[in-house]
Order: sequence, then C-alpha cells, then structure tokens
Amino acid sequence: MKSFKYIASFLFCSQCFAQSTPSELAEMSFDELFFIDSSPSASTSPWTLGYAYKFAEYKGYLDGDSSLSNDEVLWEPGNEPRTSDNFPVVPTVITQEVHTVSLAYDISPQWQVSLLVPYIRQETDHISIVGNYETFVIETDGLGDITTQATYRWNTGSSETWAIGFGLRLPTGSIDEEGDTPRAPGDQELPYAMQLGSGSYDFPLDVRYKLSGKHQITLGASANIRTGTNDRGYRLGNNYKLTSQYSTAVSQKVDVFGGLSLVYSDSIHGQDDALLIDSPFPYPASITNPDLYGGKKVNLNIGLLWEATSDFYLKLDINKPVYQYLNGPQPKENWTGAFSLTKKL
Amino acid sequence: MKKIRRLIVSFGSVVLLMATFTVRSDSSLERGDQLKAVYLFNFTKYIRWPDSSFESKSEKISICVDAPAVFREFLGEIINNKRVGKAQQLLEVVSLDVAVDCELIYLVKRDNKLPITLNNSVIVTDSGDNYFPENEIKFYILDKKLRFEIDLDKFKKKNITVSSELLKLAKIK
Repeated sequence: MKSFKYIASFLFCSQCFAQSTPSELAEMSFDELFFIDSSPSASTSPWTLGYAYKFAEYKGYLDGDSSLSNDEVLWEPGNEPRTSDNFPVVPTVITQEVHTVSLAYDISPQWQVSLLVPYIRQETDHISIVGNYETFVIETDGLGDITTQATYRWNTGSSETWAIGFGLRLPTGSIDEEGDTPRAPGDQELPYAMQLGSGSYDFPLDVRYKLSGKHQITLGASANIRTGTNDRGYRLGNNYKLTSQYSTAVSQKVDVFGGLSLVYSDSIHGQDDALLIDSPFPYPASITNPDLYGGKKVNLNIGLLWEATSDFYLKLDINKPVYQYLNGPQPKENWTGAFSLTKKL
Repeated sequence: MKKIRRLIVSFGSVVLLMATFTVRSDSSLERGDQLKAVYLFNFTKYIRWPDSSFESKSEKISICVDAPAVFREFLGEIINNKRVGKAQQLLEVVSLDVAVDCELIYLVKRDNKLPITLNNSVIVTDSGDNYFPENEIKFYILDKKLRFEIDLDKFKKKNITVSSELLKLAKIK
C-alpha cells in the first residue's frame, strides 16, 4: 500500500510540457526543457505505443571459439566413446521470434516509465541416435517475462545527453514447457533454452551517453541481474553488455546507424533435475547442461531509422556476431534481426 | 494464472490513473515559442547584471520583447510576480516599442532598430538567420530540440556575468 501511494504521487507530478500551465512551465529546469521536441507538429501526448519484432537464429556449434559440426557433437555409439562433449541428441537449428508490445508514459521530460509485454515463439530442429527420433522438431510459444522500467535523462551540455534506466522483469513466462523428446515416451520438461521465461525476478539496468549532432555517437552499458532460484531449482545467468553506435542522417527523414557491442553472459546456476537421464553422462543434449550456457560475444550491427511522420518511427536493425567464445559445445548465434514501430499517441 | 490476472488488474489501474492526465495548456502560442518564453525566464535566473544597471535594488529586471502580443502575454504568465537573483528582483515583460531600459531583449523580427541603449542589455535572438550580430544569446534547433548559443566575449565586454550552470548547457561561440 505504501509503495502504491509513492507510485501514485510520483505519477501525479504533472510536469509534462504539453499538459502544463504557464506557472508549472516556469518551474521547469533547462534539463527538462532540453528534452522537449520544439517542432510544431510534434505530438503533445505523454503516451508512446511500440511494437517490436525480433528474430534470432542459432546454427552450428562452438566450444570456446572452435567451431564444431553437428556430427562432431552427436555421439555415435560404437565409433567413439561417450564423453561430456558429445550427446545422443543434438539441436541443429534454433529459431526464436519475439513480438513485444510496449507502452511508455512521460511523467516529465526527464522521467519515463514503460511496460513491455513479449510474446515468444521458439522452434528447435534436432537430430538424434534414438530410434523414431532421428530428426524431430520441438516448438514452444506463449507470454514471456513482462518488464516494467523507468528511465531518467539529463544533459551535461548542449548536445550531450545521459540516460539511466532501471527495471523489474517479472517471472510471467512459463518455465514448465513440455514436449515430446527422446528422453521418454510422451511429453517431458523441455531444456532451459526452450522455456519462455526465467522463473526469477530480474533487474535490467542500463546507462547511455549520447552526443547529438550531424554525427551522432551513442555509448551504453547494460546488465540484466537475476535474483534467487526459480521453482525448478535454477537461475539463468546474468548478462552484461557494452555498446557503441554511430548514426548519421542520409536524408531529412532517414538515419543510418552502425555499431559494435560486447556481450558477456554467465552460465546457468543450479539445474533442473527433470532434464537429466540416469547415466554416467546425465545430459542427453548440450542444451540440458547448465554449464554449457553463456560466454562472450562481439556483435556488429547496422540499421536504419525512418521518421515516417513527426510522431511515427520505424527502425530496422541487423545484428551479426563477429566473434564468439562460448561455454561449449553450445549452439552459436548466427544472426538476429529486429524491426520496430513507435507511435506517439 | 492468478499471477497474470493480478498483473492485468494492476496494469489496468495504472492506465486509468494515467488517463487522468488530460488537461492541456490552452495557449494558442506554438510549442516552439512557448519553449522560448520559458527559456527567457530561465536565463534571468543565471545571468547577473552589474549593480550599475539598477538605480535601486528594488528595481525590476525588464525583459523587453519584440514579438507578437500573444508571446508577451504568455511570457507574462510565466514570470507572474516571480523574483530572481540574490537581490530577489521582480521580473517584468515590456514591449520593446515602449521600453526605456532593458536587461534582456528578445528579438524575432529582421528589421530591428533598437530604440534603447544596449550597454547593460543581453540580446537574445530567435533561431534562423543571424540577422542581428550584436546578440549575446541565439536560439537554434538541434535534433528538433531548442538549444542556445552564448557569445561569452560579448557578455564580458558588458561586464555581465553568466553562471557556469548556464554555460555548461550552452554552445559557446
């Protein structure tokens, strides 16, 4: 109740330019004024609705930075001994699609709160040495983890802007997804990669610096800190990311951008015992081993931002890892693509 | 399932709460000009005029405006009985046509012939062409946001002090 009162009083801080009286405007600082769009056609609504589609494909394997073929990861009884680096079941292609609807509200020119609701669809092609399961496909889909976040922006110069964001990711995505795997007849619990949520309360954080002008530079650092242990006895690894991006206008309405990012992810802590088989080598596939998650990546991205109208934006972004060092054998990221629409209401 | 229902109810409540923010400013002034008026008021907080500018400490700081009446009225509502500076001087908005003495002058027209002396006046000009080269502050647009450029040498020549906080946010000429 206390926290609700705090949030309500915070929201009623009616400092938004579009909705303020002259006397309220007089209370605004330069820091707040610097974020207000001065164009006459700009929307005065504090609400922003967004939709984003993200596609990711994982194909092939890496152990550290050494490539492995699917055949090298697949255990062939009689031809080679079973080790901790080969498996009777091998995912060959993993695709992930995420549709995210977001709603943001500008409490003031500097403060924004937002809500992001993802819908996830995943599909994994497999090969295996198990009869009747030589090739098979597993799919999962549903609501992912909903994120609420707040962002605060401030200026350190006429063209320098900083932003800090912090949020809470709620465990609304399922971690009990099941499918028909060679592990046993019927449906069984699916590996971590095929689940829709983390099952834990996570805290996304980020800091960004932007230098505006004809040539725009953005630098950022972000993290996703996960807490506790979920109901299935594990916690996904934390993620840390450093980003740099350059963008410039190629026309009045279109900006192009390119950048580089460094990503570090932890492996999974704990494990889901339902994924194990009764054997000296208890992991039937690499994606059932919690230690074979995480690693380091260097990603290159390019894209464009199109301002269709003063309050409607479209963004395209293609991301390709140029270097990966993974806790492997682990499926390697091939590429990701993202498309987003943003509309001021 | 219960968890999701709770979340939906909570989110719905927040949306309803936020939907109450629908009171809009009824000013007919364009957003860009509203912003400039607020900036002008803010400038007076960070600029210190020499004592010789004022016959007495109780004398007002005059913002002389060469802009349509609707702008003057809006700026008048912004500064309504406000006091600034160490001496807590009152602010006033005056039309440049009838001004006698001005601490801050805002010019938007191209054919400005100033009817007053400029010794202690800070001249602010609108974004666009640099048609009035004697200006100390000039508005400009960067990424659709209003910014300002300060000519520090001109401030020094007039012995007018600008706060470092204002300089931090300005583009220095």
